[in-house]
Amino acid sequence: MAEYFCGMGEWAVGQAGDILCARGLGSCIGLVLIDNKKRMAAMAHVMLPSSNGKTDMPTKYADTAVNFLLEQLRKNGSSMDISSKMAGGAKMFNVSESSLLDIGRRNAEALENSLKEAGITLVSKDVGGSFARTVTFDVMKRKFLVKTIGRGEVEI
Amino acid sequence: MGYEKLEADHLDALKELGNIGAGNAVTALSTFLNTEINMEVVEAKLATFNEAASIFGSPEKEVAGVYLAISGNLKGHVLYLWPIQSAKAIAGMLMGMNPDELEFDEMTMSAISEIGNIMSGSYITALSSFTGMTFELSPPAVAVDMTGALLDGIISLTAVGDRVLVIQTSMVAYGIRIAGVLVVLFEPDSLLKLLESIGMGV
Repeated sequence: MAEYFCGMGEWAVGQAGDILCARGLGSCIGLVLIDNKKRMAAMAHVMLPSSNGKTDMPTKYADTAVNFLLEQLRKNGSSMDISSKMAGGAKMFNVSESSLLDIGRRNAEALENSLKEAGITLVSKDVGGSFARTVTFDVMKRKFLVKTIGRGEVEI
Repeated sequence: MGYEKLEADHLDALKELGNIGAGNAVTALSTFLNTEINMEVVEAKLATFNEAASIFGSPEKEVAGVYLAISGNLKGHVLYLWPIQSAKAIAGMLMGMNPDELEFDEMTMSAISEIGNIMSGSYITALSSFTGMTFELSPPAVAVDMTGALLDGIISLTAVGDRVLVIQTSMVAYGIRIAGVLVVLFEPDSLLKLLESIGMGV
């Protein structure tokens, strides 16, 4: 029975009774992999699309996060019947001449690619736009909530 | 490069650069608003992502932010952040209105944007004359939302391993309850160039 806060680049695995959470997502993405048979899930707070071969923080990068989370689920005795949901990847500032330009969109695209390669269904997503999100996943209820300021809270 | 090569001396030098920039920015703003503004502290530190995203306590804390991209010889990002009440107070001063009656409409956002633009512009001008390097600044972009979200893209782009180098200045204008934080993050290669330009090559 714990609440795990995944900071930027971090991850967590939760069992029934646990809450997984990633707060204040802008261009970053909160990804959750859900065990469809057991009450178990893993979350990553992904920052960048590509690791370029770096292995220091696998859940920092979209191209290494998915396989790393799968490995953690396997270690925890998951059924490995997995589906996924994600939210984030916004463009917070309306800029046209900065490396910030499309990092959120690229994060979302890279994660979708990784999920496809790993053969995992993306059940729902709430990505893009220009507003911040906080995501929480209740492992027991299998409930993925996206909270915003001024736009309320939705389950996706 | 890894940040393990950065020693206390380098951080001190960057802090000093921060002081020069922030001093200039504070002077510009004091003149502009015709009020006394004090710079509290300039820090140059290697922060964890969470430390950087939690400048105001929680990554979910709602703040107003003005962002400018630095290009030219160096690549970097300037972000000026205010807690909501401070943003309203400073916009109210500029517009001659009661801060408590302000909404974040186009006019308020544009006032906030202008102040961020003046601050960042003077900061970068001082840095440029001190280092002899040319910097170009993008037009300002303004947003009001969660702290973590306004910072995470910039942190991601400037991170080395699990750390970012943040040059952070807190400012207080007395009498009108304004507290803001100016954050400057350089992309790693640019940081090396900046240190070289002041004879502190790593």
